Amino acid sequence: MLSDPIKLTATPRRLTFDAFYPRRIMRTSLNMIWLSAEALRLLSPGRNSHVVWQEFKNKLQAFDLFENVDSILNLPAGDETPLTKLVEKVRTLDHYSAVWATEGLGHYYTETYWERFGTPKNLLRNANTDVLPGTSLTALHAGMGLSLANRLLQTIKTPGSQNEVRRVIEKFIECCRHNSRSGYVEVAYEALGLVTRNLYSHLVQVVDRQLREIDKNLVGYFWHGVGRAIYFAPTNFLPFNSSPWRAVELAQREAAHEIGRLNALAGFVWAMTLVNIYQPEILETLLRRHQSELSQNAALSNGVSSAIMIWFDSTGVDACLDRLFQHRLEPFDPDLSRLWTEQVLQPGRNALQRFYPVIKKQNRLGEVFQYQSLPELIAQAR
Amino acid sequence: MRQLLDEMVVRPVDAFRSVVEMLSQQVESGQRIDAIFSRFAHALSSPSARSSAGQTQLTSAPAKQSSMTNEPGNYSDGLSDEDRLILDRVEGALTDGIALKDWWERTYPDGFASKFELERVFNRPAESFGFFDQVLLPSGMLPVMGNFQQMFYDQTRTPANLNRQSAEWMRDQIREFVLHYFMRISSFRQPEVYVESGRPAVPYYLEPLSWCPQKNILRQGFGFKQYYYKLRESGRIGKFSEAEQSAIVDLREIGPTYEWIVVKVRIFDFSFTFQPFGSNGPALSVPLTEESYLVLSRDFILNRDNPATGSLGRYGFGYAFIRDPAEGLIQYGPGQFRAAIELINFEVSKLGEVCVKMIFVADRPEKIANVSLNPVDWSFRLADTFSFGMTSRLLSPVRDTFERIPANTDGFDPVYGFVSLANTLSANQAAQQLCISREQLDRDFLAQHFTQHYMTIVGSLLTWRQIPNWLDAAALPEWVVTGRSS
Repeated sequence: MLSDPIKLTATPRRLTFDAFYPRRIMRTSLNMIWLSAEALRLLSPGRNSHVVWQEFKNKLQAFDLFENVDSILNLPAGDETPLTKLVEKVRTLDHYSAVWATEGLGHYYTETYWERFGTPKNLLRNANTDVLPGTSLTALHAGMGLSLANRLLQTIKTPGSQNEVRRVIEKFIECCRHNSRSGYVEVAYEALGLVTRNLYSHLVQVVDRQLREIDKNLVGYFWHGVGRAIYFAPTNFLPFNSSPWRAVELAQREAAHEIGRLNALAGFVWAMTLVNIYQPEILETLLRRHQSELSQNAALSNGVSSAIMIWFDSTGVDACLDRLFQHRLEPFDPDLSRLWTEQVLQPGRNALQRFYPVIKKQNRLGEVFQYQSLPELIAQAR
Repeated sequence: MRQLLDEMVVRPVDAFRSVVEMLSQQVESGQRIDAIFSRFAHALSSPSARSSAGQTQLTSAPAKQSSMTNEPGNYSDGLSDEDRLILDRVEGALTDGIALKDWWERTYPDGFASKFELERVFNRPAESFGFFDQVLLPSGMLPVMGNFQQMFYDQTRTPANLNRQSAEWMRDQIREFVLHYFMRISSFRQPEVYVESGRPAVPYYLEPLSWCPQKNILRQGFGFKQYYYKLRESGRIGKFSEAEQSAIVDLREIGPTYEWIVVKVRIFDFSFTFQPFGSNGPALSVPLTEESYLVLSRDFILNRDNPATGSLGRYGFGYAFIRDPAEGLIQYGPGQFRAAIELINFEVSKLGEVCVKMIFVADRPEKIANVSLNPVDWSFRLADTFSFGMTSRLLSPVRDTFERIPANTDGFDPVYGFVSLANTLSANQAAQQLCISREQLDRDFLAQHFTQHYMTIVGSLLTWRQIPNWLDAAALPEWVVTGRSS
């Protein structure tokens, strides 16, 4: 039976009128679904069913932590607590919850700023945020990028207008640069792919085309975000119809070029690894399902390596990674075992022990948010 | 109360609207479903980032720390959100403007879909025509209209044996005048009645009975002020200081020094008159404070010596119009064009004769005016009328909440509404017999535009003649150098 160290984040409240707010109803529904999934996980026979329901539960929890960070931290509407204090509050949660809640906090903070003052500037790079713990920076930038992307993409009135889309993307890039700390701007860039794919899916190809003209270096980040979006896409959310495993096909199919395909796949693996970091059997199931596709390139190893580095950077602990590194495949399959060793274990260990210290020291962690050769990246860094 | 309305009304309506919006997009069905559910879930679940009154600790820090930037951005410090709203539109306006200019150069003189006479100027050497057509811009096909006008400006008056020398001197003068000073002196004050300064002020209730002369400033032409620039070398974007605003840079610096500059033009004595019942009927005349931001890049600057046989030089400038981020009642005209350019080019012939060619190309109007159809706005205005403004003050949270509901209702255009109604009721006889048509309104706009530019050029002639030598910078009057000409 799969272990489950993650606790349900909802806490009982007294019944007030706000219990009937759609947002509260939505959260209650999510929690009910979470409990139902847990029940089904326990009742369903077979390892595969357990894996599928567990994966569903994890994804649901990550979504809840992100979207409802204000409820989780008990922040009243119009809250005035400085970001540093909010981050301190998040750090009282367990490591897993803190990662997703911090991303939600980045989003919440950016939205609040935008609502009150308009276009943000220097949001995560002013003197007051210099004291933010290093472990919070990646997730905060990811959350900020999501808010910036959504706020700007929703201003597009004519999706067919290349000019308008281009202007919005340029504005997004500029906003990311003006608000991100050195070494993290790429984290914010990557969010554009996630928001575009899941909220403005009709714009994916247009944005890709414009990005290639504006700055080819950003195309990889965009598609990495698209891959992450595919993992969280509603049609891959529910544990039916071979979800989430069929997302591999989507990641391959939606991109019109090789850079896009590799990044989308790496982004998908990245998200799946991070969301299910405590349950390596979920990653194993993915490999069993898509052994041939995933062995054709280094997208799998890149996604896993990057996710491990980001997890370590965001939590500062590697104890839970032991579970991943010591995981034994059941039932044993020699081909799969070789793939697991070559694409998960070795790259993961290398990432943690060799690449991460150099990349971190060179302040280039944001660059792992796209598919690329990590040895080459650290060779450049040196 | 406000939170209750926000959560129970605004949030669900917003979720519904965002879902419906996705239904109309062209996208593969799986992705559409993803977007619909993601939007729905996000709209219902996302935290409410509502503002509370006043500056808060949360946000005051980011708001005041703009000077703590670690890395230099392309924007210099000191730019407000309003500045950025304009600057965000510069590159788009420039792209469209260059596309319009290229189209003009390909199409002039006889390639227009529809070309027509615009104005006649009796006993003065001037000619013009108007046109309708379509232009393919990066953002799609744009129906355009415009006009071309050419007028005589000046000539040398010298014996025949000095013609060549005199024409070359004229060329040098025109080059300096057009590229360095024209934009500083293109607005004028008409003669004004003298007002005695020592006379005591008349009480306001006696003002209508007073025959005392009043200060009545009548301005004509175009008043330019420069606001923003982008440096060519560094790509840095900045703002001109207030002291620099009137002295428009030497246009020859655009290219070598500046990638572009943004100026604001005030067009004086410009009004829109709507006479639904003909020239003898009642008229609604709206005096427009016509202002528009314009962008000038090297694509619009003309500086050529000896460009063709018979020509000693061509000098001129042009600009693309930037659409104003704020929308008002009037939906068309300077500040509201979706894409538009103006080119003003002077040519000096070998005989020393100077003529001016002016080209204007702009999108054809989709709306002339926009009257709000917002029932919330109407209700509150009516209630305010009877409650002396108390309703808005007492119920401001409720009003704010209602205004957040994305009702998505377009306003009503009374001008085009009247045109459509008149033609519907008369089976198009209104258009055929009485010229009550959109096309006629478009032509009226072009005629107005012609007159405006004609007056500006004629007005500038007096200033041009007033200065004996435009190349003698030290001898130029201060109002020419500073650009504070009126």
